[in-house]
Amino acid sequence: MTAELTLSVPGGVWQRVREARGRVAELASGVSEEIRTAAVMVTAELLENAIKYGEAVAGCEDVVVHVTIDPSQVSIEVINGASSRDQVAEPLYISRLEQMLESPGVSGKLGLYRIGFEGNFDLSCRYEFPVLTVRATRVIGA
Amino acid sequence: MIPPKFEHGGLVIRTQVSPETTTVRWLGVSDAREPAVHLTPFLSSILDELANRSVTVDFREFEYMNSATVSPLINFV
Repeated sequence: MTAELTLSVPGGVWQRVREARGRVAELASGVSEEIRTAAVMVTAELLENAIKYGEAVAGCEDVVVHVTIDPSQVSIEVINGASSRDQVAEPLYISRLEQMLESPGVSGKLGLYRIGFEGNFDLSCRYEFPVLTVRATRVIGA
Repeated sequence: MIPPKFEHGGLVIRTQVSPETTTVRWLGVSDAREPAVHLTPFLSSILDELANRSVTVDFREFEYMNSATVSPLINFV
């Protein structure tokens, strides 16, 4: 059985992070407590990043969260706008994400490390101008 | 004088002083965008009072924290 959840969060609305945590906890009620707790944390960390650093762009005004749970895997995808209107901020953010995904020794924001170490999720990201998609996946039973 | 309670958003920190030890209990959730803005002044304010005392930091009723809470927490500990 597959459980799915899609949330649309207007940029800058920090209060919706708490709601998202609750919704994911409900969605993940059929998996172990450890995986449920990790999925809630991962969703919140990715959503917080998107709200902090993302921006509304044409075609992607809100932050979108997709969560899919099936018997073999949990997948959490967070999509937000990241235009290159600001020629400095956007490349820095993308570069930082890539550095942190590739080099565990790089210091900086803790959330992505937490997703990998504490949550045991794998991270990937894709940037297709002007939309950034960050995806966290965890194989159930691994 | 150690304040008996700190509260911000869903986070509550209760302090209890006894002759033997001071207990600092964290309860609820810390999910503010910038928790350090409120947490650090409070935690810094009680540090002098805790110096040279036995301190127990109790997280058993602390339900959730975001990664932005880690820095002020680690600095306190």
